[in-house]
Amino acid sequence: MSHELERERELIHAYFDGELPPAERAAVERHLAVCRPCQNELAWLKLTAKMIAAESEPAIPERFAELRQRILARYDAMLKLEQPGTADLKRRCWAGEGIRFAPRSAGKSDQWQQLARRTDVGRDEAFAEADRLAREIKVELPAGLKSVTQKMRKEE
Amino acid sequence: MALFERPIYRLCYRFLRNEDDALDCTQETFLKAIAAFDSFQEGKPLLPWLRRIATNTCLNYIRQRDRTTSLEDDEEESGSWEERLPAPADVPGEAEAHILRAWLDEQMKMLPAMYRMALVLRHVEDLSYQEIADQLGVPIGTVKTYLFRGRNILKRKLAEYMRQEVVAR
Repeated sequence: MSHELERERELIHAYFDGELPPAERAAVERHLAVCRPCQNELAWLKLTAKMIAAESEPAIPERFAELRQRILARYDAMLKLEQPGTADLKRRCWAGEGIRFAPRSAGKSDQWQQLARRTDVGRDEAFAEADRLAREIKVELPAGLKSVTQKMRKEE
Repeated sequence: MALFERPIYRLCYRFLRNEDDALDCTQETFLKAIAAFDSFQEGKPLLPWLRRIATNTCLNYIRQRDRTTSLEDDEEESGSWEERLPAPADVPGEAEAHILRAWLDEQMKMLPAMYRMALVLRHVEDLSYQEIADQLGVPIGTVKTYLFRGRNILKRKLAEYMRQEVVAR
């Protein structure tokens, strides 16, 4: 491929990826309107990208359950090192943040997973909940979270 | 973190194309994440953070596994043929698409690892050039090169495959 052609093709790829500034984008569009090889390149690009994106989801192997147990065991071990109450607090505020710790306590897991999947639970709501709980169980919030909740309280 | 294990496993599998390797890297990703938990910035979404750890873990894994081979392949394009490539035929129907997907899986497996990882991050994870550069720890120009070369290899193979299919019919 000649250097010039390669440069032209690279521009088509960047155009396809939405990575060009408006002026260059418009120039590529003008070129595309009159250049058949570049039109073909774009068509191939679309097809190739579509196929990669549509590739089947990798199946989850049966052994995955064991792996999950090992990860959770390690996670439990870490939580035990923390002060009482903090683990629950962290789970709550992070679930609201989309961090989604599903607690493993029987009966509650579904509720937490539902909360974690909700898109209407915003950062403020999650932090307010964390702040309320922290005061209730008398624990310190992590530093970063504390500054945000203090700011929110002032705004109230 | 529980809800992220499957997406992370799938990402590792797409990078590595091997079930055992993907399970190993998923486990390592979460163990690293748990160990580094305190360094995670409160208020930021977790998935990109986990994805970065997973990408790094898979990169290191590939480096060790394929110590003898290059992560990048300087395969030269066959220029004249490339320039004459006609427009692709119609997009295949569902039955053919199924066969085509299995074929693509094989082709992705054979791609140089860095090209494959860039393509997965772009087309499956829908990341921008800058985000891919951050994930892979390379400059944007390198990301462009990986995507360009990776797509060219796949495009060429796809064109060959479709031509053979037409001849076989």
